[in-house]
Amino acid sequence: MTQASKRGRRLGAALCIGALALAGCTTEDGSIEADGTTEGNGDGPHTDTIRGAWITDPVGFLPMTTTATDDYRAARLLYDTVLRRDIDGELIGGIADDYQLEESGLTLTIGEGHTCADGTEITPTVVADSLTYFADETESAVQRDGVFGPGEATITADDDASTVVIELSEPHSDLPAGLAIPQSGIVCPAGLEDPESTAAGQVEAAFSGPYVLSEANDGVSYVFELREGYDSWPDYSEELEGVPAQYLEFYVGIDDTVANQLLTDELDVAPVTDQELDRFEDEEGYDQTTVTTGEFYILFNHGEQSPFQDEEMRRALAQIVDRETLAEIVDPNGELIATLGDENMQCANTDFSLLEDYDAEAASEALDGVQVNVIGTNAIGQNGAGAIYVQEQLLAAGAEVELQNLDVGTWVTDIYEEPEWWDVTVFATVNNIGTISWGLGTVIGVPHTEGGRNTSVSNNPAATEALDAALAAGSEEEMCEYYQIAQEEALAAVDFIPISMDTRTFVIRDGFTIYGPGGNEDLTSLRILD
Amino acid sequence: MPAVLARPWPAFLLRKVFEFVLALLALVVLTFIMVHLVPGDPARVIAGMDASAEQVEATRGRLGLDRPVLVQFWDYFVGVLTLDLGNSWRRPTTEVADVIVARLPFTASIALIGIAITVLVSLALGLLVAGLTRGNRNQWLDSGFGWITASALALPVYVIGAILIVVFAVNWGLLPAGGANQLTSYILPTTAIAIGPICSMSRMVRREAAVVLEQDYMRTARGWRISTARQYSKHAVPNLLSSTLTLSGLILAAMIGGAIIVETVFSWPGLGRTVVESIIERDFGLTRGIILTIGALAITANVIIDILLALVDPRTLRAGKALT
Repeated sequence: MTQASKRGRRLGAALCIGALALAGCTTEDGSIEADGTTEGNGDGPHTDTIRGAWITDPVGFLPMTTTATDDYRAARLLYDTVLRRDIDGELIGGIADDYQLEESGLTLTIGEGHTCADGTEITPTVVADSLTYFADETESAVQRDGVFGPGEATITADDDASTVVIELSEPHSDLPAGLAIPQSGIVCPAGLEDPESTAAGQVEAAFSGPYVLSEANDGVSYVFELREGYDSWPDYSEELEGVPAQYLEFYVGIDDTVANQLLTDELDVAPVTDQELDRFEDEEGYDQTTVTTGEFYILFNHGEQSPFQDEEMRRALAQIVDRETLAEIVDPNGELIATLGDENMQCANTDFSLLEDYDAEAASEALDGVQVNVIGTNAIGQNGAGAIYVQEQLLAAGAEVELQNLDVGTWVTDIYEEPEWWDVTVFATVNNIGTISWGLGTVIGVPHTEGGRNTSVSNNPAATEALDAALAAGSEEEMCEYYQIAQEEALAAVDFIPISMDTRTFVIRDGFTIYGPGGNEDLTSLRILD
Repeated sequence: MPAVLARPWPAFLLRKVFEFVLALLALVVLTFIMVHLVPGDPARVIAGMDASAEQVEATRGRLGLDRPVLVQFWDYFVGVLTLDLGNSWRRPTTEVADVIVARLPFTASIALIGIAITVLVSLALGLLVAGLTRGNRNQWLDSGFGWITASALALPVYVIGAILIVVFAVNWGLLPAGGANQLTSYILPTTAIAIGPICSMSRMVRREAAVVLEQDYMRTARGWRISTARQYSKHAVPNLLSSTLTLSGLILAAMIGGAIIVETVFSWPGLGRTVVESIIERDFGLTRGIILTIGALAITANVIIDILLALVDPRTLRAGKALT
């Protein structure tokens, strides 16, 4: 045997030993033992833990001051709300057993047996104090007006009668829906005594929800532990299959890597991007649940310098947009919508005949030679494909188009602060409140430049009047009547072009499940199946 | 000039300290200017799309962005001098220093393991190939080595990372695809970060070793029947250390900076991934703190390498300047 071949054999042996050592770190079926509690595909889980993924670290753990998706996820786990969404989207009791909508506000009847993580009973006074803190936090609680409306909110408790009365100086019919969102979570007294530490997640006694934050590793993972004896689960109209996990572990990472980690059994459930979903089509052992997060639509700049201040120009653009094609580009899982909300949303318009039909020929007459500045973001459609589609359609109609596809931060800044730089964009709301008014408020009503939410700065008095009347309505029937008028007026003037729902699809390994109450993401509905 | 400064070592060290401080000062100024050049209003982005104009202004006030730029710079400069990097702009209850302390070990670990693997493998591989191809023997090996290392060098690190994930994690299920939840999580990121540098450094070692192995003292050593291992360890390797150290210093600095890509591909919770996230979120308090740290580490690594070089090869002292 030559010296060289001896060396080769030694090298080969070393490589084999290395490979065997590596293989020894894995389970028999090849899956990774992440924490020793999970076995591989096929056998189903034998675990008390569900492993999920978050995109970023939460901004904070004080529910009313949260601003991003992962904050809302944490807030939902840590804090219960007075009202909840049923599986079909109806409002049901949470900490409150019942509620009564009145013209001046709302009366909540607080249920018995709800406790904070330190055992403190959640009384009407505890609820009122928490909601008052929220209503007074005008500087940093971005959903404050969405929940309580723009006026003053006075919240009083009657412990003997087990009621909390919320009086609003300006009527706001979205109040019940607002009280069901994670940002309205009830913070227990210990949390309100030290809001800063609560925001940092350091006050366990602040939590009123099913889980407490048991571990926070910045940038790596967050672990939530089920409270011992917790029994305040919402009374859903259908029983949720499976049992809640004792531990929920969320690893912070990049959303593009989540699909790999699901396929390698490192995660049990996680939202997967549309582009990655194809990888699970032929994979056995995975299920999918889609929830909605908001709406996609074409947002016009109605300002003076924009060609789309003119209704006929907006109509022309509506005539060259094939909504099905654009929906496929921005979110293949999103349903087409006839307003800013899907058909399950209370008071949503479902009459698609109110939208413009495709008519490229008619549109060309209006758009030929018109200078249009399209602004887009790489977050809407792959690499900004949504805005590129609008650009292409405008070019085909003879318009002179300039497109800027930007990162989200620059795009948001330009939309709100540089109106002279853009005429039209493909927009997306994050409909936190889950109501028609939340989306509509971005295209009609008081312009954002004057303290309102109307991003398009449109001027449609009839639609605005109807929207205001709907928010001031004392009954559901009256509210829906006005909302329908508002939607019809806005669609008739082509103030915006509704496209489709913005969705998020969770891929779930066999043995686990997640529900989407009212089509919304709610991590308290994560369950381990037997 | 004091007499002591006429001596090579004190003069060399003083010059290095001066360069170090100057580079740090430039870094402080650049990190401050840089965040002001990035488009997009941090106050609007951090307050959120749903925030009212008043809430955006309140956020601007909280971040101190409503103050004159020079005042902002002075506060930042004093903060850096007192080692107070302030709080994250997006997460007001989180100190930048805490984030750096939490995530630096992740970046440092893959960079240090990566550079250690790079140096060891490159030296061994370069010497092995140089030895086996000495005197125009095994030309096929020489060509194969050149072809393979050049091809691997041409692959961007994100392509190497993706290939490693597909093969070892997704298809074979041997290793984790991402995250840092277990010890085996280190293998793929460090491999991905080391492959390129191994290729470039082993090519350099092979070239230098080919020259060294033809030197008279090596021929003499072979003539004396000294064992191959001893020939290489006692006579060849010391003569390769100078260039290897020089290159490894540059590679280490590049690895710390280049961790941005590897950490993103492998969802690795280090400074690289964090700085990308902070830029997207316009959390410039965190961005400049991390860039300052990465920059300071790179500068420090270069100074240390210069000093090591001077220790290994005193000619760099007499030349008045280290090779780097």
